Amino acid sequence: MAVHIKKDIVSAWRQFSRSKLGVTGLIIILIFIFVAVAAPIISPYDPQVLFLAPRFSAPSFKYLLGTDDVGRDVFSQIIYGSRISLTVGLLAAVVGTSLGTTIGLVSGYYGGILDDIFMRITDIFLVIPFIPLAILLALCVGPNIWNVILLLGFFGWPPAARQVRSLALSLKELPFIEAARAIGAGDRRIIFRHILPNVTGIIIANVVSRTVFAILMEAGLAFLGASDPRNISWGMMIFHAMRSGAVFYGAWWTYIPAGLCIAILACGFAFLGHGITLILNPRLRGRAGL
Amino acid sequence: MYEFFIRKFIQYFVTFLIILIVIFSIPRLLPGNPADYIISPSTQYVGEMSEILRQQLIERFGLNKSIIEQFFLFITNTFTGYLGVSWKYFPKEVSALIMERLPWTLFLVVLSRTLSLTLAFFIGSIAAWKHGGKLDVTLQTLGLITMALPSFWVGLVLLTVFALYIPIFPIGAAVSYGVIYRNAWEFICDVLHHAFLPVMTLTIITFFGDTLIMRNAMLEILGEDFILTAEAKGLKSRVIIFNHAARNAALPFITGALMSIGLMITGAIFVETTFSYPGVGALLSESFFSRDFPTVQGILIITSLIFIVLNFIADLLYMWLDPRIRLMRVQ
Repeated sequence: MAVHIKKDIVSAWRQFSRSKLGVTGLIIILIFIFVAVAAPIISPYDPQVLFLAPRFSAPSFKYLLGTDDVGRDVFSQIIYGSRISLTVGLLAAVVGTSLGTTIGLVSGYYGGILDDIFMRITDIFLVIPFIPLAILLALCVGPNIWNVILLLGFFGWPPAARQVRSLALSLKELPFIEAARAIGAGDRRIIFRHILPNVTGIIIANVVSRTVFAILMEAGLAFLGASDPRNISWGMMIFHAMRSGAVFYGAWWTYIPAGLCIAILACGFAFLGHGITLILNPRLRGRAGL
Repeated sequence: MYEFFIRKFIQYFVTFLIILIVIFSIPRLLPGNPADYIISPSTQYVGEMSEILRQQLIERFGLNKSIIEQFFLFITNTFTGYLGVSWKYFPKEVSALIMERLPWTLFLVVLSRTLSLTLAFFIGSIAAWKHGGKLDVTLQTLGLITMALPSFWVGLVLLTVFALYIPIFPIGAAVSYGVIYRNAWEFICDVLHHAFLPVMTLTIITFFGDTLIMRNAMLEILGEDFILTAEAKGLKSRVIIFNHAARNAALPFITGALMSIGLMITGAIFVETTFSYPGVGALLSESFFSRDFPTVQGILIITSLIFIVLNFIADLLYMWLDPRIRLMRVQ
């Protein structure tokens, strides 16, 4: 069994490494993870210290990306901001995909009324406009990073649920499941030992694509001012730049680099997702070397 | 056919009711009094008129009655278009406020969708015909990249470049302030001039994704036998692409496009905030800052309704455009 898994991983890696975009994405993500972990060592200043230099100081050797409207070092803020984007993105994606996988497995395996109910709920989730709801909740509960993660996670399950469900539906008809049942394996064992390993690919692909969504949504909510004011995030830096008139002041360094970071990190995950789809979908392989 | 229509209608109606139940319960599940959310604090400060309005709000939302009565009043109010009174624009009604702003949002969204989809239809078709080619690879990469761009940032970059450093476009708003137009043409020009950067932002974000959807739909059709027949007949590739393949690929493309209008309304929130464009999106972020609960709630209700209606129309259109389903009624 262990040898088998190792062989699978090696062959998956070989497929993945052929995708230039996929590898680029992985490198981007690893760089950002390094920056996030090593933030206290890399960042030249404390990102929260006010009036290090006059407000809107232009980039210089002392302050690589200048200072913002209250004289904080932008470069240090960018470094610390990676923590928020990565944490929110990954946690929300994991919460959403786990929920979706569980619902998809149960729904696909048992079928019947349970399946009907779950799929109707999925349909409902797909037509609720996310941003207005998030804003309404932020208004009532107050903006807090954990609420944002939970909300993004809770809203992130429909795609995973749908894909896992349809795969589980076809898997449960296969002979090996019947064999497992014949030996006397219970439902729970069949779901977790036999079906779950076969949907791993979809789960990983979903975590990646949900991360892109969560990073962008967190940035968007922060841009609207509906994110945790205690933690500096890239979206919030842009929000402050907008509110303080940095745009009209010509202080591009307060919002251009922050937005670029959101875009690059989200791109990294989108590219990684592209590489993973290549492993999952053999039909796309060898096409144009993307 | 009619059965399909009715089944879908009931399904979406129930969906809307469930969303309303969720919206209704949010302020009531939280600690504190729902009245604190619904009644504007302005009523405490502004004269005698506001006391009457306060009583009216308590009456209409049944705030002194049981929770079940409150719920039925909430549903009736919503279906009769009464969404309460705004805090920020006190004493204006929320529904009037949203209706004032909604046309601007729809204008931006429809304009950018039309632009993006028309271009995507042609370019996507060509990319699929020469799939694996240079154009195709570039489009795929750009599709992945633009998918990951935050729209507000793209807007800010355009704003910085084309309104500040090269000031050829206005920095915000929908029309010039304090200008008297001599004729309708001047007004249209002014509106388009202001809408240019927001529309461009929305289009940049969606265009490559739209192209990929069209490309994939086309790629599927191009694998079918009738395309081979057309090729064997010696038809020109232009004829095959647009007369044979693109027509068939248009079906999933059009319905997808319709549903994306709903998504774009949320996308417009960021772009409108960036350009201070007076649409519903900018209203949402304004209301968030003034803690204007009734307006935020109203926008949530209206956007949900728009989402649902568009999904419903997309379902019907899909059915109507697909001859296999449409012709079933003849049998």
